[in-house]
Amino acid sequence: MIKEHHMLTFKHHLLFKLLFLSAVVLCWNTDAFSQEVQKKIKPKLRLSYTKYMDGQIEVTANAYYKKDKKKEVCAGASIGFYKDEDLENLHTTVIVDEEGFATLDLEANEANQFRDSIGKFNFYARLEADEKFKAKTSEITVLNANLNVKFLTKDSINYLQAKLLCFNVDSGKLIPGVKFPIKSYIVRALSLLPLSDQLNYTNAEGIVELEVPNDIPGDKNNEFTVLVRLEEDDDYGTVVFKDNIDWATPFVAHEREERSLAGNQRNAPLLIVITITATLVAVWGYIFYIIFGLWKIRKLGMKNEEQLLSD
Amino acid sequence: MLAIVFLVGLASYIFQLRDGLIITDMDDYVSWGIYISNFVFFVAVSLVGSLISAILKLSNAKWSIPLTRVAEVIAVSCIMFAGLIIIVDMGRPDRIHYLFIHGRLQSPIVWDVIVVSTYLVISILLLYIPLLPDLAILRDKVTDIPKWQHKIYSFLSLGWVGSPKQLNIMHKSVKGLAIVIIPIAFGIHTVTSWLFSTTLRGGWNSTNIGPYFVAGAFMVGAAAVIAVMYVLRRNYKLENYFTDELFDKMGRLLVFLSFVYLYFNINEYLTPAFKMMGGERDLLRSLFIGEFAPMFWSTQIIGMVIPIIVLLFKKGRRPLPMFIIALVVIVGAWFKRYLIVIPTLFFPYLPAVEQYGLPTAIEYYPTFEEWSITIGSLAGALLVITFLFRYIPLIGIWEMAEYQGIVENGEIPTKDAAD
Amino acid sequence: MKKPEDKKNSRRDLLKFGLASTVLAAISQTPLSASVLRKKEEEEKVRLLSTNGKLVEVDKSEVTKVKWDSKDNSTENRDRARKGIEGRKWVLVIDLARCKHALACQDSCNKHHHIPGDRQWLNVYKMQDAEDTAPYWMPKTCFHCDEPPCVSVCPVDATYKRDDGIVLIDNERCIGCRFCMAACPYSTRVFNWGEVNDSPEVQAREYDPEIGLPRKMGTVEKCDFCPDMLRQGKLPNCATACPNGVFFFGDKNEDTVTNGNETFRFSELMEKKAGYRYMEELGTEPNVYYLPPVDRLVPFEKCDQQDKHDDEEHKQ
Repeated sequence: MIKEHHMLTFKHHLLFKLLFLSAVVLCWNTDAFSQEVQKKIKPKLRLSYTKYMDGQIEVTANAYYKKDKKKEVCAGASIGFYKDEDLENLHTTVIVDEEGFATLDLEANEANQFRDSIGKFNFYARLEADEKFKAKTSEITVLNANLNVKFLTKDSINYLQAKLLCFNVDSGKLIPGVKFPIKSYIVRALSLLPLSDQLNYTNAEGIVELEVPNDIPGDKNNEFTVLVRLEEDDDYGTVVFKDNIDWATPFVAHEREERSLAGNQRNAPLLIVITITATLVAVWGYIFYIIFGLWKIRKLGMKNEEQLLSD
Repeated sequence: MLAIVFLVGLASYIFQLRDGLIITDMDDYVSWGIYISNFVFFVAVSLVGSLISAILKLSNAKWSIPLTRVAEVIAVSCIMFAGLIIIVDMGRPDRIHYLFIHGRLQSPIVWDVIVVSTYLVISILLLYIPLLPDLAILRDKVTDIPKWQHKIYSFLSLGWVGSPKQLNIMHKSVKGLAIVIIPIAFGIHTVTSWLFSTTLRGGWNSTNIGPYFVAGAFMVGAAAVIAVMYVLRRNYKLENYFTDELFDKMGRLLVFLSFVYLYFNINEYLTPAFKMMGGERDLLRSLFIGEFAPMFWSTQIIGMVIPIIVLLFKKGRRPLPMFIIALVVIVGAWFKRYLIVIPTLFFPYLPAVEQYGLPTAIEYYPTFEEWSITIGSLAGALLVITFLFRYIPLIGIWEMAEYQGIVENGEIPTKDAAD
Repeated sequence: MKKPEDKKNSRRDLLKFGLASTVLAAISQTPLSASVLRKKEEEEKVRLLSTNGKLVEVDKSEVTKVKWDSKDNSTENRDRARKGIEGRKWVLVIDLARCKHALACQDSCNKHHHIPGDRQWLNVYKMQDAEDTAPYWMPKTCFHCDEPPCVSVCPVDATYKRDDGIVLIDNERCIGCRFCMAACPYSTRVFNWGEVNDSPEVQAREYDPEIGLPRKMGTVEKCDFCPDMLRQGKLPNCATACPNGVFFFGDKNEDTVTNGNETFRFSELMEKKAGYRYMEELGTEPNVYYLPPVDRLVPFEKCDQQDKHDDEEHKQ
């Protein structure tokens, strides 16, 4: 009977050991109880194209996703910019920054690598898949456009004259862009000051003329920077023209009195400096004179002692 | 006993050095507390040195001669602790040398530092120089003291023998310093008052504040001298020197000073109360009928009006009643300074808010550490006074001797006269 | 002979074993173990700029911090902070008609400067000028006065006014006398009464007065118009964070202010909306202007983002 009992318990022992080990192994691997479910996120990718008339071209990819109805950015993901649709010809890989943007900077001649036979510029981008995100591709196709601005003065009123030339696929040439909205600004320290409230559309010659007020302050050289652009057009992207013009009102330097009487500069008003120094010198001079007198007393005392001793 | 109180205060200060001023109950609204009002109090009391050693002496009020030593000792001790307590109030006492190497001469605090240190040096000189003959007497005549004490007396007495040349220097120095100290004494308390009136706050924005402070200082200084005088008279049996007549004269002086202070007080409060200008309205209401009313009225009535009334009578000018009155005046004066500094901070222009812009009540109940440091400093000042009086004569011996006509001008009096 | 004891022993063993196994199983379920295990899978990554200008990601464990020079840049920071940004004169316009007491400004300011909640630099007051006038919410930063009483009284030149108008504090110079706090009539300064509880990252920074970090015990602080953001061409944090566009910030020399979305000419704003300064009669010449609460965006009673600060005490 004892033996039987033993065998039973021994079996039980084994059984429990097995059960325990299997439980541990299962828990080790399963994520069923872990707090976060690891599922890859489907990001959104938006491309935009900006051409600066000074020769720079920017293709910006905005990578983001929606989490709990809030927009979050895919910071740290890599975006590959490709020259072809099959995404085999890679141009550069750019890492998405903390604000969700990855920008491909090109010189004007570099952009020709993306040009096709008709004259369109095709940019393909893919957000490369990693542990967090699924892959996502996007593309943008634009045509070339030129925006040039001339500054003129007519009857002592200042004007800027913007001319928009757009690439026409059929003719393969640049023709004036008609009825495009052009926005003009003055570049300021932290923002852009719009020059007009309503939209200005180009006329039949692709020209927009806008008055520039003559009471706008500028920098130390009496200049300010004007920024004129065609914003986010479906065919032509964003085209930006930027230049300085010296139509600013004279710069008034805000001079602070170096020794203001109100006393709130680093250097005290001269009157206070003189008064305090004079008083200090006079009083402490007298104090040192008194202390010197004390020393004289001591000397006299020593002399007297000598005299007394010598008597 | 005093030493224990002082050491408790010192211990609290060490905690403050380690943990910062957060151990006090000061906050961003009540940013100046009882350390500052205590500072003002110390500066006020220390003015008595100039009052008695200088003003009374120069105006030939010879009856005050027995008091000059007491007055100077109080002055030196108090101005020393004024400097110490202001260091206690600093957030970064380790940067105190910046006051000298980076000081801005436009700042009232720098002016205060300048005048207070000047006053301290002159007061020490005014204490030390007339002490020279007495030190010489102690050196020559007093024999039953330990050797180290004798050595110190000899060293400090600078070989004083009473020669005509030495006496000449001494008299000239004392007279000169007495003249110089008067404008400086007026200066320290006026500049201290400017710490408040150079701000834009209601209650401090007063044009009257300089004379108001100085008058108050003379009054509390006189009271301090009376109190110390009484204690010394009792302990050392100096009825012959601190005579009843002397008390009577000091009593009259105190009444006079109190009237002057009452006058300035009325000026200080009546004109703003008449207008009740915005910015001051809430403060004045709080002082007269609100939160601070009990303190305000007791300092005015018990601390000023009643003493005046009592001292107007000859019976009131006897030593014991005067001692009590003097103590009442001193305590009243301490709370008066509290009322000058703290209630104004309760009523800033913008409402007091806590984190989310919700109104909060401003409160200030000084913590145990604050009280212990403050009372510790007062104890410390008294300690210095008693310590000094242990080793130097309470009354200028030669001055008294001259006054009492025992000796001619200049001779060292004998021990009998010195007593 | 050992029958009953054997039984007991074996039962005891069984119980012990059963208990131990369930306990161990339970522990293995906890997130603690799971996270400990998972950490081995995903190493923390750090983004670095490589020498050829590309952003790369490496495991944090492979990066060691090397201090290139033992020189502390705080002296340069302090000198630069005293000079200011050239050619500017910063001004702030607060539109009281738009303020809804959302307190996003205060939260972002506290976050950027690592301020604990009870010592905020930006306050939003409930103001009511007279008994019969309407109440309104008034956000208040430091006014960066042109005649600052705080600067006049500072004994050691620890607070100073720069050429670009900003009044800054040098916490390495401040001796903590709090005279500036007494002198400021707008209660805008706060004091570090006790030990500073900044995080280790903040404490490791080099001192820069333009952000006021790391903070020092026993010194004064206040709103600084975010010069660190201005140097990057960005608006101060309060202006960016406000959901209602209350804060308009800009350069008075350029006569332009913006709230991030709308840009106006400062002189136009003052004229059209009757801008004014708070307590002009004090003579401090503040650089913060207010636009009166005319044609309010939202009635006063409907203001207050209660979901943010839902606390019984805070319900008005």
